[in-house]
Amino acid sequence: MLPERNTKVGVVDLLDRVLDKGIVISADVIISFADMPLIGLNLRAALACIDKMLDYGLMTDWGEAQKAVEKEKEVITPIKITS
Amino acid sequence: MSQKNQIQATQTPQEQTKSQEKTNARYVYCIGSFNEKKTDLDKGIEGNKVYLLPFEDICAIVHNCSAKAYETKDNSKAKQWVIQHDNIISKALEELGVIIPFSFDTIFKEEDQLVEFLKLNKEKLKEKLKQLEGKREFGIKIFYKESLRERIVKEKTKQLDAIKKEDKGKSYFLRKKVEQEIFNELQNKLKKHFQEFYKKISIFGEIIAANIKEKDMLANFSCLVPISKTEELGKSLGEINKLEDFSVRFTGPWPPYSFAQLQDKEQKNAA
Repeated sequence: MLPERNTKVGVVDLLDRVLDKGIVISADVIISFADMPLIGLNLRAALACIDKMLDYGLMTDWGEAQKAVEKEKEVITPIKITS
Repeated sequence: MSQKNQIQATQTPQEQTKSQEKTNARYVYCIGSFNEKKTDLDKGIEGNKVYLLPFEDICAIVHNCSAKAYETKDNSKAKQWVIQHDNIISKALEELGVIIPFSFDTIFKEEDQLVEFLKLNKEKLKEKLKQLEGKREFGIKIFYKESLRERIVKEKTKQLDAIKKEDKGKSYFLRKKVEQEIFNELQNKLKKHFQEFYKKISIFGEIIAANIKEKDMLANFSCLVPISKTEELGKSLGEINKLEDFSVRFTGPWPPYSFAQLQDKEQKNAA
């Protein structure tokens, strides 16, 4: 079995890693998000939608995910890059 | 009129504001061992020039920016930034051999503060680089299929029919009991399979088990594997994927995002 990387499944996994993982520094020398981080909010919401779409085989392109994001973004907890 | 004034006179107010923005902050992609010959990195987020900022024998891979986080409401733009972030990290991994990736949007307000971070954490960073050398991260998600549940239900329904024939008055309680038994048996089977798969995969490298995020997902692993064992891992996952009741989603190779956290010695001993 070969690993996927540049596929839809791969991109979902990549976003998950880049936004949630890697070194996260909590320090006052870092630009921190005291308020709602829009990028985190939107990407997290998009990710949630894509996961669902992949489940049901409906994922066609990123644009599809975007439409669904608008409906769901209020209920998604934003991620914080730093704390 | 001086040359500087002439240039400013041809700029729009917006362009003037942009050119006056300070770029003292440093966006950090990752940390690596410094190698002055390996500086051929692609353009970073928003086409920014990416370079190696050294501190003794280690370095941070950075671009200069203003002290402002990258944020947008435009999802395709956000996705593009994240992919550019990963492109630089993957390229640095290729060039330097081993790196410690940073989470998206980590920006130090001043270069001096980043250098101070490198200075303070030098030993920990070097130890982490040593630990990650020659390894890649893979995403492994294992799902169970409806067939597993169906088989248990079928077996239990046979039992229920047999009992019902014997004592019709007890059918409601028997049904409840059987439902609970089906649930318990499915949980037991899944637990057994989880342990079996974990054992099978863990021989290839270190595993971090993350939360289950999707329906019918049994396991959500990030696995740090020596490059030489990648093919064997793929074969082993192929065997699980061929099983009637399970399917596998295998992604990578990724830079070691899930294994990047720096641990203090005390934390490590406690773990």
